[in-house]
Amino acid sequence: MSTIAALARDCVALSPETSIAAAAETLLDSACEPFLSLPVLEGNRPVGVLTRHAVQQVYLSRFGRDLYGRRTVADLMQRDPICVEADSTVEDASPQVTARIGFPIREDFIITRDGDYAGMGVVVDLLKAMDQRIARRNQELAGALHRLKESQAHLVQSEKMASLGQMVAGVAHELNTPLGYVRNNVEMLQGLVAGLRAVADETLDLVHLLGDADADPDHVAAQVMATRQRLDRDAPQLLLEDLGQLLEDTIYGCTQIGELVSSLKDFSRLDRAASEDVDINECVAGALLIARNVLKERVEVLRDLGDLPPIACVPSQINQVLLNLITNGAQAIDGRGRILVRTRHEGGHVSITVQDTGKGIPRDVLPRIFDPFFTTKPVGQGTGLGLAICYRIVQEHGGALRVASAPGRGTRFVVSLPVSRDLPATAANTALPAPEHRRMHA
Amino acid sequence: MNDPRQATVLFVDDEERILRTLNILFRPLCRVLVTTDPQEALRLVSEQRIDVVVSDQRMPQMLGAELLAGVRERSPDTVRILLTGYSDLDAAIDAVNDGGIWRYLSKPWTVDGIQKTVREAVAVALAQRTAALEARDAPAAPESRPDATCEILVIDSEPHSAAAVRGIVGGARPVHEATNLTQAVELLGKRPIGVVVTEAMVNGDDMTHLLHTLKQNYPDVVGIVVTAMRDTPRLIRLINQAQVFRYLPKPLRPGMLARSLEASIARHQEARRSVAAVPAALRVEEAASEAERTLSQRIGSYLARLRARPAATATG
Ligand SMILES: Nc1ncnc2c1ncn2[C@@H]1O[C@H](COP(=O)(O)OP(=O)(O)OP(=O)(O)O)[C@@H](O)[C@H]1O
Ligand SMILES: [Mg+2]
Repeated sequence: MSTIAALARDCVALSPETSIAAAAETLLDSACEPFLSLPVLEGNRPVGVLTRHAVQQVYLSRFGRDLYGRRTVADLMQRDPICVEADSTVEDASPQVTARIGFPIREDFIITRDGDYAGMGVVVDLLKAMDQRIARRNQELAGALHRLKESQAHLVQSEKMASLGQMVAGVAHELNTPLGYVRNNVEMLQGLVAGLRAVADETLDLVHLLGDADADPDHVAAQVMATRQRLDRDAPQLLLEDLGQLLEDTIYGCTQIGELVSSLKDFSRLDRAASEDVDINECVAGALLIARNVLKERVEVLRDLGDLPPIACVPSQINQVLLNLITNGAQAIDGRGRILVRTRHEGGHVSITVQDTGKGIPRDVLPRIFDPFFTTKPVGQGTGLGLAICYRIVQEHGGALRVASAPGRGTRFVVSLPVSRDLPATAANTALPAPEHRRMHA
Repeated sequence: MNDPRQATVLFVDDEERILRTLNILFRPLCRVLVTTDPQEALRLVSEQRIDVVVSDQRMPQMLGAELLAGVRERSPDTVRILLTGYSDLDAAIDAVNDGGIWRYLSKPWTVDGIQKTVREAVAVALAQRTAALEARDAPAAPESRPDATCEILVIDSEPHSAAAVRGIVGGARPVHEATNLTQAVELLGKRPIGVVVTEAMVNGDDMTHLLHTLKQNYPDVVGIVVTAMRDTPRLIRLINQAQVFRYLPKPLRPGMLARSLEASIARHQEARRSVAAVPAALRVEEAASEAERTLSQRIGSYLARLRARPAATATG
């Protein structure tokens, strides 16, 4: 913490009784060069400053030297010097000094300790000190801004991770169900195959015996019995009857697993950042599949997908928008409800409507829902970034995101995207939207 | 009547293919019922004797934990198993605290694994049923032991848990406090402990092993785990290997702790009567690793030396 004391310079002090001529001599001394004014003390108490300017005025006027030379400093001094206590900070002192200083600057300020003279302060020194402080402040602020940006990016990332986590949870469940019966079926079939092989071996032995003219009839009879027993024991008729069904289920399960995996891949589309010919209906299907985890139990989904031209967009981002809107819709529904997803081609635009039968958004809340971090959900359940990110993505695609809500009845979001346009150049890094005006109420 | 093939196992899942494959797998071993409808499952449980219920967790009409809680209400002796595709801690906690599940199985399963578990569940159900019948035929016995002999042991390195338990139990029954494994084992040897309230980890020792060993040797001891850890695999181990009775998140809520203690004491007393009939090997899954087994054996032999309780000689 730097105080004014650090700025104190040694300086010759004058007494009020000093003659002006003597004071003028002193001012010419090179030791006094840095100063615009010299302190005038009574004992240790500052009573004024004698400015270089005042002395010059005297000496420049006609006969000034003869008229004033013998008079005392007390007659010419500025009687209300600027005094600053040595232990005040640069920040505190600076406004005190600047409030008093005239223009052009003609005096310096006196530094005091408990009212006693402790040195002179030069305005330029004060300015330099302030400058340093401001530079340091700026550095601190830049650092803070950087950290803030980082933690914001981190939050955006963790919002993405959270929805990814939820998605993975849902998909894991979706995958483990078919895996469960596929594996069980295959294990049972493995057992069955081992049994059938044993039966085949016994049967082969029997065939050999039957073909052997010298075979002992008792031996043949015993082998017939053994084969029969094998058949009963190791190839249970029941399982054989179910074989077709089990195989069918197994193939069905594998298809399901394959579909899930490929839609997961389509969904993130990391191998395809921006694309010219994206089928938005495919995005909708993918998002609904991925969102099945949030929807499954309670929410019925109605699809009304129109004929759409391919459009230029970043499909993974459009998927993120759709997933956010669908998730919000599902979360707004207490108990059972419906979500309608409609796509249309109108004019030069493709519109995607996500409409829910949820609790709606109160009129006073509506203007805030796109704000970053605005959420009405309990801590830990919503980051409030969902819609902010949606807004930003749609904006970067040159589109519009509109909302209309009827409290108690439901909410409708409409994403509208232009069919042809230049692809968003940096659409890949989604930052937060600036808080400008950006809502239209449909 | 103790023939497993006479036992009935009910499978509930919203995926028909799961039911089909399980039906074919278990058909040769026991009587199998299947349904995709949890309401139907509850109806079946109320109407007939069902020994084991195996339920999926996520179903459109009802969660598995909810269904198993309903089964427990209607038919407490039915052994309950959760079979789930995704491990989610809250679901597992509900399944323990409300559904009182005996095992937690994950999809996809292995044929050997699920057959073993269901076979054991059937054996437990049959043994419990026999014990219940015997208890009914010999009506004098149950109340002979005064309930004051059920003492409580709290194991936690910090004092809050013991204070909370004392606050609830008051002077009604002794509450002992251990801050490490050695103290806990000593107290278990000396005192007639019926309920153990323990942190999941105490001074770096995983209390799953202690609970596992206890359950093997003294099946009537009831375990409550209190912890701030949100660790699903650990909870699943606690269910499958230590038959944990309640799993309470910290910070403890007094109301919840009070209800859990009351239920645990009741469970302990009931277990004194019936569980002794269940063969030791069936009570808990084998601890998995060699290290866990040696720790288990160490605790076990230490306990055996310290403790000469009738329950031990009767079942051990
Ligand atoms: N379909 C909807 N119905 C009712 N309210 C909604 C709907 N969509 C958004 N909201 C309101 O807007 C708020 C902000 O939504 P946003 O998606 O930005 O964040 P969030 O859903 O709260 O959190 P997150 O998306 O991180 O889970 C929500 O908290 C909710 O109050
Ligand atoms: Mg949201």
